[in-house]
Amino acid sequence: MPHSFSEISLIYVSFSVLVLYAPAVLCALGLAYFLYRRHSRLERRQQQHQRIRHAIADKGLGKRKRMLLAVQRRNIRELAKLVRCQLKEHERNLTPYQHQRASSFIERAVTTVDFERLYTLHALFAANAEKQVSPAVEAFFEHTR
Amino acid sequence: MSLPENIGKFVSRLINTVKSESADWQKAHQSDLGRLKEEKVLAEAELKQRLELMEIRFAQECKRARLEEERQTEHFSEFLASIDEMKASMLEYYGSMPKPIALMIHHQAAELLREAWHNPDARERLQKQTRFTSLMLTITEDLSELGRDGGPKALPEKTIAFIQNKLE
Repeated sequence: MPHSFSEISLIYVSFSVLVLYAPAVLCALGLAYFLYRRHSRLERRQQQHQRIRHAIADKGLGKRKRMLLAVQRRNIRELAKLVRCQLKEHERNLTPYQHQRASSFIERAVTTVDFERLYTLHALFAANAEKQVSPAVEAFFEHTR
Repeated sequence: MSLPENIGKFVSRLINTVKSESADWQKAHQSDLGRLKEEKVLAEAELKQRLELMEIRFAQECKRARLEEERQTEHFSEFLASIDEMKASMLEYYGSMPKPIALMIHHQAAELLREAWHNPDARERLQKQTRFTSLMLTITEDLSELGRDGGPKALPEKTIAFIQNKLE
């Protein structure tokens, strides 16, 4: 009894898949085994030890970086508090857009510890008279874009 | 005789031949095989010993590395505390000094400390360490000069000059 087309195609497709992929899988397994056995047991242990040593060093470095960031954040938050007060004082002299932009800039500066630019904004608020604040803030955001 | 029977006989003959050849070969090289076996046992024992020694050495090295990291972190936290302390002292002793200036000095000191500890370039790191030490000494000098040279000062002038010099 002749086989139907679907039966034949099913056999051929699965067979061709096996023929195509089986050697690739075997090659990959062979390569993995070769790479594993390329180094002796002593060398593998040495490499593992080096990885552990690096992990210890990285952990220590990470901890110190987090400590520094916490200290810097605490410091910049104090400045941000001062700048927020200045912003409140100058609220009438700024457009709503400038005010909103300045307050979001303050938040961003705290998050990214952008002390220099926040300090510049503080100096700008402190140095300019009421009427001059708006153009100065505009120029500041033009430069910091 | 049918074809499958022929194949079966051929296979059994082949297996018997291989077996007898192998037995003959083993008999002929018995002394060599024994020696190789002994050498293998010795090598395994030696490897085991070397691995044990290595494990002890690695455990000690890891312990040392952990202690060293803890020591470094402790030193680092002391430096961070000294920066905070310096800011508090400045705000306390320079009554008329604007707070943002103290915050700026703190920020500069923290940045220098970061560079002095975390810069990947060893030479840069050394330079920044020297600069950080100089900054802290300048601050101490400013604080110790307070009240000595003709009354209190409004600002820590030497420290500000030091930072401005860096920024320029």
